[in-house]
Amino acid sequence: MDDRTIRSVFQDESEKTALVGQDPVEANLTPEDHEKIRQARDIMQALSKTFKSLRLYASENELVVRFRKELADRIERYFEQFEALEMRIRQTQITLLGQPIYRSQEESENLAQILYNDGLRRITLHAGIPQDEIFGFIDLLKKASERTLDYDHDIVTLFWEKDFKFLTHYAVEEILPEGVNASEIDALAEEQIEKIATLNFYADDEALSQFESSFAFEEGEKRQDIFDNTPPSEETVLKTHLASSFLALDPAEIEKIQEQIRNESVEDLFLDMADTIMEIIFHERSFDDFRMLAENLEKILQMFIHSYDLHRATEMLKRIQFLIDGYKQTSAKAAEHLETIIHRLATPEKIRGLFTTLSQGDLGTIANLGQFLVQLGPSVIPFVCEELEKTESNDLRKQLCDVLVVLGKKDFALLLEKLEGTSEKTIRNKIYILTRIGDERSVAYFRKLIQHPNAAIKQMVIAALARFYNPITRDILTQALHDENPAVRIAILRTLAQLKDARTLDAILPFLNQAAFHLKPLAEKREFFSALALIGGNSLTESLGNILLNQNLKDKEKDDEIRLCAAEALGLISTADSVKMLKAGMKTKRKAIVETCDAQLRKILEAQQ
Amino acid sequence: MANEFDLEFSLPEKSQDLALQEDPAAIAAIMGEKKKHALSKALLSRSTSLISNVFQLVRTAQIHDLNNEAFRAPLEAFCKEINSLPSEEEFQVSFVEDLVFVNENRLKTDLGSFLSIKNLGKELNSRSLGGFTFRKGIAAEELKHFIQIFVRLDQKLDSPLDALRSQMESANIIHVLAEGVRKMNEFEQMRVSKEDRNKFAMKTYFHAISSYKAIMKNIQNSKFVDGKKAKKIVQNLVDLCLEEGASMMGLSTIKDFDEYTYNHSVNVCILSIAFGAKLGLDKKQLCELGAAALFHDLGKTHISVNVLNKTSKFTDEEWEMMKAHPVLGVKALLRMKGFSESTIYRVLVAFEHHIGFDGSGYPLRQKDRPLHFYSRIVSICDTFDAMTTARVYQKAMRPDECLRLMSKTVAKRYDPLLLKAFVNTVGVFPVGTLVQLSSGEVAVVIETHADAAFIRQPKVKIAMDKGGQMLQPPPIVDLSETTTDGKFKTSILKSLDPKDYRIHIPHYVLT
Repeated sequence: MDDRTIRSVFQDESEKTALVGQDPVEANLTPEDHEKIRQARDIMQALSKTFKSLRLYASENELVVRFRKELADRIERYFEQFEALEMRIRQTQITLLGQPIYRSQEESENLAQILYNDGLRRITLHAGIPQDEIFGFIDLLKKASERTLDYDHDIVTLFWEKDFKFLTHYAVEEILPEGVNASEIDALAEEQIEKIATLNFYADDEALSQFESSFAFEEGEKRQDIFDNTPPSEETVLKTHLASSFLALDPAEIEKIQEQIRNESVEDLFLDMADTIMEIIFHERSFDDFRMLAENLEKILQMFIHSYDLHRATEMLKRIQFLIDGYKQTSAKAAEHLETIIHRLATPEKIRGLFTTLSQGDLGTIANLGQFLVQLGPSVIPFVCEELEKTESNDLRKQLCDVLVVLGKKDFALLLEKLEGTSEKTIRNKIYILTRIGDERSVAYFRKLIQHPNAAIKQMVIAALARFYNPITRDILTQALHDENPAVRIAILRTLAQLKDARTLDAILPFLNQAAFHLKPLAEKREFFSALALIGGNSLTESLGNILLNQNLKDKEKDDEIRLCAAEALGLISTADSVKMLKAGMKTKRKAIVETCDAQLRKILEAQQ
Repeated sequence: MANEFDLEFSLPEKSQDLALQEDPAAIAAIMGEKKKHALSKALLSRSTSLISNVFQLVRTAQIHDLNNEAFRAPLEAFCKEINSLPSEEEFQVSFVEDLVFVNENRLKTDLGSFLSIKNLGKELNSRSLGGFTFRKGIAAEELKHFIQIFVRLDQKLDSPLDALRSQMESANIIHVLAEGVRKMNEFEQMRVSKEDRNKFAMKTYFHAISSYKAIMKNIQNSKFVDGKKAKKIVQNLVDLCLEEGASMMGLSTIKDFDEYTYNHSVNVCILSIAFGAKLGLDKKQLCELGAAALFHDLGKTHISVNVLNKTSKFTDEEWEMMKAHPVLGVKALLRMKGFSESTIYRVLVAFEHHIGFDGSGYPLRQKDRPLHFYSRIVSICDTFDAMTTARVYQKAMRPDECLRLMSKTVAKRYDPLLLKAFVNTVGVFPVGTLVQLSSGEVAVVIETHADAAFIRQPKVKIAMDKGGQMLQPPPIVDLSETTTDGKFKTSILKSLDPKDYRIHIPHYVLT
C-alpha cells in the first residue's frame, strides 16, 4: 500500500489515528504471515546492527560494509517471496501485522523511538528497492539521531528531501504555526476559492474596489467602459514587444547558469552569512541586537572550528578583529564583547584539541592552524610553547615558530616566560623565534646561551647576535673568540668579518701576538687573517707586510704558515700598498712565500682586468 | 470532508485506509507515488540522456548514411544502455501535449535537457506519433532499421502510425513499439481533472498564506517562531510545483490588496520555486530557495502599516525605515528557532534582495561581494510580482510591460542571464496577461509554451468575443496552432489592462 506524508492541515487528529488502521489478530495470521514476520525480524536485526556500527565507524569500515551487505541480502531474500514490507512504528517498537519485529532498550539507539518522535507511523519498503535507497534510509536515521546544530534534520523533512521511490512513509505531523486553526484556514481557503471560481467580471466600480485597490486609478482617470478592439499600429506592436534578444537562451548560457548552481559550497555561504552579519553589526546601534548578532557570529565561528575549517575561521577572525578595531574608537563595550568571543575560543581544551587533531595534518592544514592561532592573539602563547616542546613534526614545529614570532611581538614578556624548554630542538627554535622578533631583551638570553656545550647552538647564537649588533653583543662575540671550539671561533671571525667593525680589531689583533696562536691549525689562522683584512683593510697593510717580510721568525714551518696567511690577507686588501708589499714578498727566499705572493698578485691583476 | 476526487479516482485495491479517500492531499500524493513505482531510479536518472540519444540517432540518420561512424557509435551505445536495464524493465517515452513521460512517469525537464527533448517531440508530432517503447534484447541492426523506417515515414499519410507498425512488422522489429498521440485527458496519470488540481493548488496556496501570516504575527509579538514549520509550508509548494510544473505560476495572479505583504511573499515564493525548477534545482534546493523567497520581506513586519501603505512621498525618516527592512529581516530570521543551512539562504536573500546586480540599491555594504544565486532569483521574482500588483501608491503594471521594463534596466539591477531565463520561464506574455488577439477577441493567457519558438503564442482563454461579449465558459485556444501554410492562426496584438475590461484574472487562470 502506498504511504505518504499526510499533513495535519488537511485533517484532524481522529482522522490521523484512523489512518494507522487496525492490526490483524495474531490467531488469524497465516503461515505465510508468520514467515513474513520471521524474515522481517531478520531484516530489522541487520538494520539495527548496521545503524549502530555506522554511529561508531566510518561508512567504509569493514564491519559497516559487512553489515550493510547482510542487510541488503536479507531484504533481497524477503522480496523474492513478498511484495512489500509494511512496518508500523510505535513508541518503542516496530511491528508487522501486529507482531513486534524490533525492540530496543537503549533510548538513544531505539530506531522506533527516533522515528516515532518525529511523527513517522508507518514505513513501507517495496519490491525492487535499490541498495542506494536502503543505505540512504540508514543515513537518514543516523542524521536524525545525531541532530544537533542543524534543526532541519527532522525525519519527515529528510524523507521528503531524499525522495525515495521504493521506500514510502506515512507520518503525522503538526505543520501549522502557533496561532493557526486548521478548520479556520480551511474555511477561509474555501471562501477564497469560491470567490475566484465565481467572480469573472467586476460588475461595477464598487465590486472592483472591494477586491482590489481603488487607488489603482489615478484621480480623474476614466476606466475604459467601452469595449475597444481597434488593432494597434505595427509600430506600437514593435515598441511594446520585448526585444528578441531576450527570448532564447543558448546552451553556453544554460551551462553558465547551471555551473553557478553546481559550484556552490555551503562553507563559503556560511562565510557570506558571517559577512552579512558583520555588515549589520558595523552599523548597529542597539546593544541587544548587537549581542544577538555577535552570538550568531560566534555560532558560525564555532561551526568552522568544529569542522576544523580553520582557513575560514581565520578569515572570520580577521574581520572580527577589524570590527574590534573600529569599535575601539566608538564603543569600548562593543569592542570588549567581540574580544570576549575570541577569548572564548582560546581555552586550553580547545587549543589542545586542535593540536591533537591537526598536528599530523598536511602542510596546508598546518599552515591554516598557524594562521588561526595568530588570529587568536598572545593568549595562546603558552599552549603553542607547550606544543612546540612536544611535537615531533618538523612542519608543525616550523609553523609554531612562525606563530610565536608574530605573537611574541605582541607579548614578548609572556613569550620569554613560556618558552622555557631545555631540549636542544626547543633551544634552536627559541633562537630562531627571538632572532626573528628582534627584541633586544633577547640579548641577555643569548649571553647565557653562548656558553651552551653544543657548538651548533653556539653558532646559531653567533648569527643571532650579529642581527642585534651593538656594543654589548660585540663584546659577547669578541669574548667568545676564546671559546675552546675552533668551529665556534671561526664562526665568530666570519661574522665579525661581515660586520666590518674596526673596533673589533682591538680584540682580534692581540691573538696574533699570543704564543698559542702559532699552535692553531692553518685553517683557523687563515680565518683570523681574512677577518683582519676584511675589517681593517688598507690600515693593516703595513702590519701585515711586516709579518710577511719578517725574516727573524724562529719556527720556520709555523712562521711560514703565518706569512702565507699574511700574503693572502694582503691579496684580499688589494690596494696599491698591499700590491707593493706582495711584490716585496716575491723577493724572499722562501719558495712557498714567493708562490703565494705571486698567486695573490695574479688574482688582483685578474680582478682589475 | 467533501471529496472532489471520488468520481474519477479509485484507490489501489490493497488500501486499508478509507480515510485516505477523503483527503485530496493524500490522494494526490498516492497518485504521485503510484506512478513513481513503475520507474526505477537508475532509469529515471538516465532518462534525459536516453531521450537525447534517440533524438541524436534520428537527427544523424537524416543527415548521414546509416553506416557512418557518426551513426553507429550512438546506436551501439543506446542499445547497450537499453540492454543493461534491470530485468523486466523497458524504456517507454511518451509525449503528451507539452509534457514528456518515461514509463508513465512525468519527466522533469530543465534548461539543459529541454532542447533535445523538445526536438524529439517535434519529430514525433510531425508524424502524428506519441512515443516509443524500447525493450531489452534490442540489437544494433534492429534499432538501425527502425530509425531508418521512422525517418523515411511519409508524413502526409492518413495514418502514419499504422504505416509505421506495418513496416516494422515486415522488418521483424520486435523490440521497439510505436504509440499514437495521446491527449492529456486520456492519459492515465492525469485522471484527476484540471479543475480539481487547480482547486487543490489554490487550497495549498491559501494555507500557505494563512500560515505565513501567523508566522509574521508571531514575530511581531516577539514569539519564538519554528523555522522547521515554515519549511513545511514551502515543501507543500515545492511538491505542487513538481506535480504541476510552471503552470503553478498561475497562482501568483491571485492578488490581495488588503493583505499585500503576505500575498506578495507567497507569490514570490511560488515564482521563485517555479523558476528554480526550470533552472534545474533539485527538491532540496527548491525548498531552500522557496523558504528564502517566502521570508525575503520579513523585515517589513517591523515597519508600520501607515508607512508601508503611504500614498504620498516618503519623508527621509520613512524612507530610511523602509530601507532598513532587509536588515530587520535578517535580525528576525536570526531570532527564529533553530540555526541551519537553510538559515543562511534566508539571511542572504533577506539582506540582498534590494541590492542590484551592479551593487546599487540598499543596504549599503562595506565589502563588495557577489550576490547569492538565490538573491538574484528572488530579486527578479520580487520585482515582477510587486510591479504587477496594484498598491495604494501604484497601478498594477501589465506582466509583459513589467518584463520589458525590467529588461531595460538589466545592466544595472538584475543578473542579465537570470532575467533572460526568467523570461523564458514565464514567457513574453506571462500567465495572467490580458491580451488583445488579432481576431479582435480579448483573452487571458493561461499557459505558456516552454519552447522559445512559441514564446509569443501561449494558450489563452477567450474572455470576450470581438463584439465585447463575455463568453461563458471561456473557450481555450492554443495560439501555437498554425494554418496549412505554416502561419499562426491567431496572434497577440497587445496586452491590456484587466481593470479597463473589469476582468478578474485568477478566475480564468485557476478555474
